[in-house]
Amino acid sequence: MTANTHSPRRPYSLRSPGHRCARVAVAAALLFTVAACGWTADGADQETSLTGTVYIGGKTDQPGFNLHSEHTDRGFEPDLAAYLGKRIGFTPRWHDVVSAKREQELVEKSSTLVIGTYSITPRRDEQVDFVGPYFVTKQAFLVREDYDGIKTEKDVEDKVICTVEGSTAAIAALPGGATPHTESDYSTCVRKVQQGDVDAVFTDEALLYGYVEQQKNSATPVKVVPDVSFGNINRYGIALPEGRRGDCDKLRDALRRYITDEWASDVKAQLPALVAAYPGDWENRFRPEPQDVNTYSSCKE
Amino acid sequence: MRPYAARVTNDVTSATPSASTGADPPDSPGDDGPRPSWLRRAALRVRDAAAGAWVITLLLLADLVTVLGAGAIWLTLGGDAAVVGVTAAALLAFAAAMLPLIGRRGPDGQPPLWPPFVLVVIPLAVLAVGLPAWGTWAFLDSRPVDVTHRVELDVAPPLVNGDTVHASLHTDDPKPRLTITFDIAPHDPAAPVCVPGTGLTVTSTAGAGKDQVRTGAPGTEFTFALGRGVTDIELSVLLDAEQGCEVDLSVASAHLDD
Repeated sequence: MTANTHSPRRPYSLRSPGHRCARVAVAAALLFTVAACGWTADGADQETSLTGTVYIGGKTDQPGFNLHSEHTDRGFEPDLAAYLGKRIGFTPRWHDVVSAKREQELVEKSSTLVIGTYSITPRRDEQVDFVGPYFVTKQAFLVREDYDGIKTEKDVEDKVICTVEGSTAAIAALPGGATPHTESDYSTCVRKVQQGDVDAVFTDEALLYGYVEQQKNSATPVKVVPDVSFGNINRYGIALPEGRRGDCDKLRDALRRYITDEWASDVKAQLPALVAAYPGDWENRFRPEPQDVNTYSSCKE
Repeated sequence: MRPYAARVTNDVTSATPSASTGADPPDSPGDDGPRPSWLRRAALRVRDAAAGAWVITLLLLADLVTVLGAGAIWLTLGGDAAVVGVTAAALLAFAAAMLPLIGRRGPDGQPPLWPPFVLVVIPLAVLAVGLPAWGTWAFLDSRPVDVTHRVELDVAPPLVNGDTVHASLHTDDPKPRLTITFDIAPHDPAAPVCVPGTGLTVTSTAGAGKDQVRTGAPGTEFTFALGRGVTDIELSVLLDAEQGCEVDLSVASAHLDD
């Protein structure tokens, strides 16, 4: 064996000029790719979906909040979406989605946003992101105007109560003995109340005042039972698919401004029965504080 | 016999005169005597210094004070009385056993080398072991004691607005301050979000720090002064929540410290 055989091999130099150039090139290429994809170092998605035409899932059978008729969507939520679109730079386009499929709508990316009297809940927040609240409401009972079978909370015990599948009202703890009746939408529930098939509709009070307004000139007008309430306070949020931090930030900032600038005038225009029910107090009851948007939104400052 | 072999046969009770003076370096040219180690040099110095009976008495007194003082501190910090007693007695008996040896004289008329040195070594050894041990204990004792999992809540979930929960804690390691943080989670995740609107009022209901009231949102650190030696701590936690809000209460963290 020769001496050369035993001589130590020259260690491989990581700092050789050729390799250094290659590493710099690879690093530059990676940086360029990451930048081109719109991802920042913290992983936040900066690419926006809120541009051009934005498909919004909503419930288009809810008078006051969103009612589709004669090819037009009217209500508080279309007003809100129009404001956000103008501020952020997109054109809202509505399509109908039932309560039980609102999460699915976003998870499957059929809609970019859902604005449909969609209460923020911890479980929903695990599947989608929320920006909100844009409306705060307790839950109440809607009955025929000539019906006086419910005057106190105790009176609910032996009644048939209509709620909507997938809504928070459907899981609210009604007094023992009350018979729940579930439909796919509130319009059907209201119709059943008017027909006498059920005693009352139970859902968010703000929502019920839309029906009060809509049905005030019908053969069987309806009313909200005053001072009888169960369940939680609901906070409506704008839902979007998880992980779109950039969009979430834009919506949060725009919504905060909306609550200060135009919320009250839109409620007056779209929910006059609600305003009339609580003269001088309706803003205290239903309007969120602008700082609540940071507290309850998935993206916080 | 080689010179080195001759030196290692010497007994521990005497030393060569050349080494004792220190004036004639033993490893100087022409000197076949051993080079004393630092320990031996130290022992020689002690023997020279301890020529009088009063010095030996002082050394014994130092041994007594050090051993008994260390034993008392050890006992105060929770040491087992039997272990402390046996250790202190053994050390003092060992020191006392040196006295007859110190009185002896070697063939060269010199007092013994090591017995006086032992009297110096005993308190030094006690201090060398005791001081780091005390320092370590002081450091550990100054750190907060985590009692998170020892706080008991008499809670039947879910809690609603106005419900009061009693929190109790027993500790064998009392500290004058408790820092506790409560966590609130929604009882039913499918119900509308309500936790951010909840608040807690926490009141101490026992001990020297009784009736201290703290309020804050869940996640707030509440601090209570307990006073010295309090081993049983009791708090009442009042929930402030909005209508229909059902929550579960738990202790996120609890620490006792100084």
